[in-house]
Amino acid sequence: MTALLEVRDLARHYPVRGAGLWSTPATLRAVDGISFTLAPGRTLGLVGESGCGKSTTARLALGLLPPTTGEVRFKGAPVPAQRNGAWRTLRRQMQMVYQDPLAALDRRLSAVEQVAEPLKVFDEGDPAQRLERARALMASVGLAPHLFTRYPHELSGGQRQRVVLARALIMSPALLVCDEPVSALDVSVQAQVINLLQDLQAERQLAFLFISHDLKVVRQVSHEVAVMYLGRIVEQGAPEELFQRPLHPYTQALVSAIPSPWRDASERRIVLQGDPPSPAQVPPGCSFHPRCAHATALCREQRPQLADVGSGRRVACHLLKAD
Amino acid sequence: MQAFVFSRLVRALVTVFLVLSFSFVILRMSGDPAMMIMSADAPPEAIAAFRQSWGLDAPLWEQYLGFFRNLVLGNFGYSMRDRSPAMELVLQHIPATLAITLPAFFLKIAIGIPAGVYAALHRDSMVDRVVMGLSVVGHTIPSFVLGLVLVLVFAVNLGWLPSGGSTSWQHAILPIATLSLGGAAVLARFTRSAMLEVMGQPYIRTASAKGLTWGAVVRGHALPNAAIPTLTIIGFMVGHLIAGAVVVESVFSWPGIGRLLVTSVANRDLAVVQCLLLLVAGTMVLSNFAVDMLYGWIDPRLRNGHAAGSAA
Amino acid sequence: MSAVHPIDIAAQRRGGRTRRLLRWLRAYPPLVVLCVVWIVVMLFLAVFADALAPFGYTQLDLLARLSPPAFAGGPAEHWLGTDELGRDVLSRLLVSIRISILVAFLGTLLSASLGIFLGLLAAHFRGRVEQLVLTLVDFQASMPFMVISLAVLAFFGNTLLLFILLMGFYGWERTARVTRGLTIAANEQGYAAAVADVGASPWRIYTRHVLPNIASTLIVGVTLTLPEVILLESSLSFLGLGVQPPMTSLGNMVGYGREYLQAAPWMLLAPSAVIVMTAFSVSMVGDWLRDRLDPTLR
Repeated sequence: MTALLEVRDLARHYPVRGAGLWSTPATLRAVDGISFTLAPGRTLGLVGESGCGKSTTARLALGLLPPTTGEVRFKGAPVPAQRNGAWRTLRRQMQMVYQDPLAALDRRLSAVEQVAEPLKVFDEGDPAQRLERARALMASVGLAPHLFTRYPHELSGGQRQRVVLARALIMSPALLVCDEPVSALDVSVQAQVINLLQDLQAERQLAFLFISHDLKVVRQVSHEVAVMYLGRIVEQGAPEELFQRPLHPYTQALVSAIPSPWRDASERRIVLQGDPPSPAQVPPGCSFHPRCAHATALCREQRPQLADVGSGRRVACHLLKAD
Repeated sequence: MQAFVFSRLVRALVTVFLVLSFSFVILRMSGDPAMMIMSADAPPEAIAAFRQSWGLDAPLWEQYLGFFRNLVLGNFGYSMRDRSPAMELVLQHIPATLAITLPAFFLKIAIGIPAGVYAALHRDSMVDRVVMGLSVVGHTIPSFVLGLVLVLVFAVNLGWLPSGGSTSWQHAILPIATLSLGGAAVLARFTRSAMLEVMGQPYIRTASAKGLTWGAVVRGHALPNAAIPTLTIIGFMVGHLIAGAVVVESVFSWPGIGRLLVTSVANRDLAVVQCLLLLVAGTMVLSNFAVDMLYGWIDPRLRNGHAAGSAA
Repeated sequence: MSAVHPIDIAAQRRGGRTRRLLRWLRAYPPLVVLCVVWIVVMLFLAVFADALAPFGYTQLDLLARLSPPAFAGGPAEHWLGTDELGRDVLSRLLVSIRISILVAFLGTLLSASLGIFLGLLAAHFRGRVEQLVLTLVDFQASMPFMVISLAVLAFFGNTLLLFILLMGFYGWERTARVTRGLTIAANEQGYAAAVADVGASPWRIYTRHVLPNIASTLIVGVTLTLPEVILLESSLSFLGLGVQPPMTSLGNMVGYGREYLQAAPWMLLAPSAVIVMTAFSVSMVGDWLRDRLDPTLR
């Protein structure tokens, strides 16, 4: 099956001034060489700490940011990096859902007007038809009719997120990039929105690029999970396997940090030593080596590539290469 | 910290450069000074001679460079009326201006800040309302109206004080009063809102919850933090020591810089106006720079290059 | 809304009509209402000055020069007295109101337009354009406008058009700063970015989304600039460097009345009072608007 979204060696660097007046300029490596593919109707979960480059990856995938190197292909064709006509046409097929639905909505317009706006931008139908389609879609994402004409500040968090979803779906895109879509919601509402996303995926064959720092949510929603650290993917695989048997030392630390009431008292949490990293000063070699308990000389010098280690798992670690 | 000082210095220099160029541009764009000074029916040879002696017949870019060269050499031109060096004329008038703006500056601070702090600490009380009311009035009365009203009351009706001129210290009272009342009103209002903003912060509640007396909280936490924005205003006021009395000096016929500016403008004495502009610009830039440095020293957030709360 | 307002308690004791009146009073404080009334009256006078003035504003009446107002013992037909050339003070006042309000209005409009335009430009293009705009903002903010005005007036002479243009450069830097800040916030993380992701063109984003959202903040800013322009214009006219005769403005009248402070104080008291009341009223209304629309702006 041809991949819907294909990303190869994607990198995004920013030149920054170092500290002090006469310092040499440094490079902030927000995304530092990422490759993955996403098939139609599947979900790829992207996890990692704040600052690891997840949101930048999302924006690169949608063409909202031009990459420094590498390429993004959607349905085989390259995604334009400038906001020209071709880029705008591509918006019909790929959309984004945001972390803060209140900020993503114009507080002066009612919900239904905002859901109908993409239709206006692309000049589809007449005003009455647009509102009709908007209403139908809003109903199908679980919004009651009396909420349609409300303003964003008159809706609850979960309702707002549904409005943002409806706006993203109204052009019937094939790909939806969700950047921390449930992080701002209460736990009970999170479950509802997650279920909604899964239903929509089944109905419409939607592909999701699901970005989150919350491992529990990603585990539930994804067909495949990629763990990011300092702009690179360090491990990739099926969620259940990855969480039960994490291979990369960083994944192991992440997984062990998940709070759980069923944790055995004897199971110790892995606490990472060393300072939190900065994407402006990426360590040479393996970017994780300063904090890794198993680091060797090779780890300090050579950057490990993401390699297959069997059963669909890929890990970027010198110590885990299949012998 | 270094980057901060450096960027502020660059900003100050750029402003000075812009002011100088601005001055040059409008000076040259405003028409032919020769025609303006000499009357329209002067013989053409006289006009040409005038042009030559003032260097007005060279191409524009040459004049621009010459302008800067003159400045560096300290040659600021001559008053077109009486041929005296313009900068000397300007500098002569500074003491008279400072004689009223300096006392007014201290009075403004002495009246305005305590009033504002008191009003903030006793919010919505009678005193607060009175202070706010007076400060709004002080903000909306133009200085010439305030000055004239004071003259009407104290000089004309009560006869206590003279209404104009500068021969004795009594003459200075009304101008100083006019300047300080207006400024105190602005300062009171500003101090009050700075204090209120600080007092609404969570760390004030925390300080009080720690068991500190209210006085200690105010002295140790509220006042120092409220001082930071108040300093900008005071810095502005320092910058205005030279230029802020333009209207008041005219009302009271006080022979300072402001009055010199007004008369030079009315007479189109361009060299003098230019000198005044440079002097004012220099003072403002210097005081802004000083305030920036003070800010950077007082507010630890600025020392490491983080923006002080504004959009980066 | 912690404690119950005393007016509410009182209202509960009385009937429904009184309750509604008191609620209305709380929403629109009497002082603000009075200020609005004053502003409306001033606008009315400005528009209909010609029809309302009992005399022509340049009409001389040398026999009646320096006569006091009618209510203070002067001739009955000159309600506010006459000036040194026998011209009726009331008529001159009406025309002055028109000119001063016109200059202040147009000046503020120009300043707001310039500020919004440059602010949007800076926020949209970022980079060098933004740096340029910010440098200009710094320059404008660091120079006392009075001195700049005087310099410009010295160099360029003085026509009404030029004067209005000059007033148009007052205060634009504040509007530009606010516009830039709010637009950047909308663009980076907010609704403007979201709509751009949908595929809307920048024109649509700015006109349909950004400007309506920042309009209330800008309006508040404008009502705070307007009284300052009034004061600036009257100060410059007082110095004789603003509106030139034969046109008359409020500051002008005060300037000419200065010489006759002792002999005929009414010449400058009437225009002074109008200046102060108008600036005060617009200021009050602006403060009230700001409190209503955006209490976070204190």
